[in-house]
Amino acid sequence: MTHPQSEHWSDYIDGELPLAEARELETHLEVCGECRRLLNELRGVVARAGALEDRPPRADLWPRVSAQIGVSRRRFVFSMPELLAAGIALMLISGGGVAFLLRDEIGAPVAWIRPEPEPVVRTVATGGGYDAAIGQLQRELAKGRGSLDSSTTRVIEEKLALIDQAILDAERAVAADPGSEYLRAHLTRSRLTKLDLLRRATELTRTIS
Amino acid sequence: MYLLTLPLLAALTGTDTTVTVGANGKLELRNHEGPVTVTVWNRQAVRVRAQHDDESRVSVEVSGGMVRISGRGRYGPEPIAYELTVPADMALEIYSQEGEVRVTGSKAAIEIQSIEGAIIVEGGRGSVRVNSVEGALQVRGASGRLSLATVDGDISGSDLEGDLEVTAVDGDVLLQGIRAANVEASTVDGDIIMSGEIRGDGRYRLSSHDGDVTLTVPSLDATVSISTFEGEFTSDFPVTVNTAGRKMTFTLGKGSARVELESFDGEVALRKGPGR
Repeated sequence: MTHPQSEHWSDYIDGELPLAEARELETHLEVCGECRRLLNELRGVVARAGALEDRPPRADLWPRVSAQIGVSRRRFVFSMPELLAAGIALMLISGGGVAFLLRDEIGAPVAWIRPEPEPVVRTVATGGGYDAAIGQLQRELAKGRGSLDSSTTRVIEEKLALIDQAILDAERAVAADPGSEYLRAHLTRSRLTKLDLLRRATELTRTIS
Repeated sequence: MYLLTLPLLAALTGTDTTVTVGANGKLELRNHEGPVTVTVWNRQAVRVRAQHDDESRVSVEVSGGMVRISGRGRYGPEPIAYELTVPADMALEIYSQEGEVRVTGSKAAIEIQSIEGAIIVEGGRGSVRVNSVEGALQVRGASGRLSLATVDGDISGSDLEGDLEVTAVDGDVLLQGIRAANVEASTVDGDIIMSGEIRGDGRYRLSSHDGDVTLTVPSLDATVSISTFEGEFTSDFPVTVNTAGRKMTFTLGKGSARVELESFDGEVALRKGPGR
């Protein structure tokens, strides 16, 4: 099966792909679940980035984040692990910081890079960038947790444990059935859920203090 | 009994002030503890009624179209109960640390963040973002870009239009009468139940890790994918399922809309019924 060229995704999402090519791509989408999933995720990330408000970014954060998750400022990469990285970037930088920092990329035509299917599970499973991002948020949360009352802290810790269990379930399922597109996507989303909760909790400590 | 109650009542006082505002203004409120109730009226003015102890002060700042409200006790934050009356077209941004927040009748953008306490919204247009750590969310009659999120609590939405994103961690998601073009609803531990109309150009994804997922629609013209790890799928619609791994796909009608229903460890059901 021949997948669409990387630049076609960008044009298609922007509505700039010539009609005939768009129809061809849509025909491919009908039979290729991987590409459908990719397209949905790309749209989700782009929509999320576009929906962010223009709050002042924490300018000091991006270099560390980008170094940890391995995301170049000049390209968006959207394989599953890179999608996770994009999600990490969106979540780590509060408010519209990412929109501000990546405004050139968001505003300009973007070269969507085709995923490399093989490293998906390995990268997600070992999760160097993910672990670093989690660690960074946990450290920030630990610093600011004094501003949260004990009840809120308890709720957040309980729900993080709940998500950790879900991640563990998903990891075991992926180990049992590594070829499952759904299970891999579910694992990635479960991890993004944890990142999202940590980000929200961290933002909360900033808001309160 | 009376000896204890009377001094407490005597210590309570209040603020009642009304300020004039222009059209399409914005109100910001920060409250540490206490209920917040917002209703609308036809005047281009904001009335602030607040109940608090006699050593607390409520500040109402008006600058251009912006009204900022905050309160403070003598030695720090104290409980304050707010009742606000605002123009329907006034955007609202409310931050509450503890206490129920209730907004009724708004026709403007709404952003509410609460740490502990239920949030109940009727109305809202444009961008409606409701976010709680610990507390149930109820949103009715909103339209636009809608984002509802809570960590611990159920989310209930009804009569909603636009693009809808619903995120719970530990709680059920109940969506009724949905007429949204795009819906993304997820929970880690809870059921997701949605009824409404599926638009031909719409995209809908309902996903739970540990809970049942049920979609009820009167009719369906969609390409549907069902994914589950340990659950089962049932359908009121006659479908011919293509199975690939953990995913089942089928097409109803022309397959215009995209519907994805996922439950890692729960049942997935597609029901035929009124989309209310």
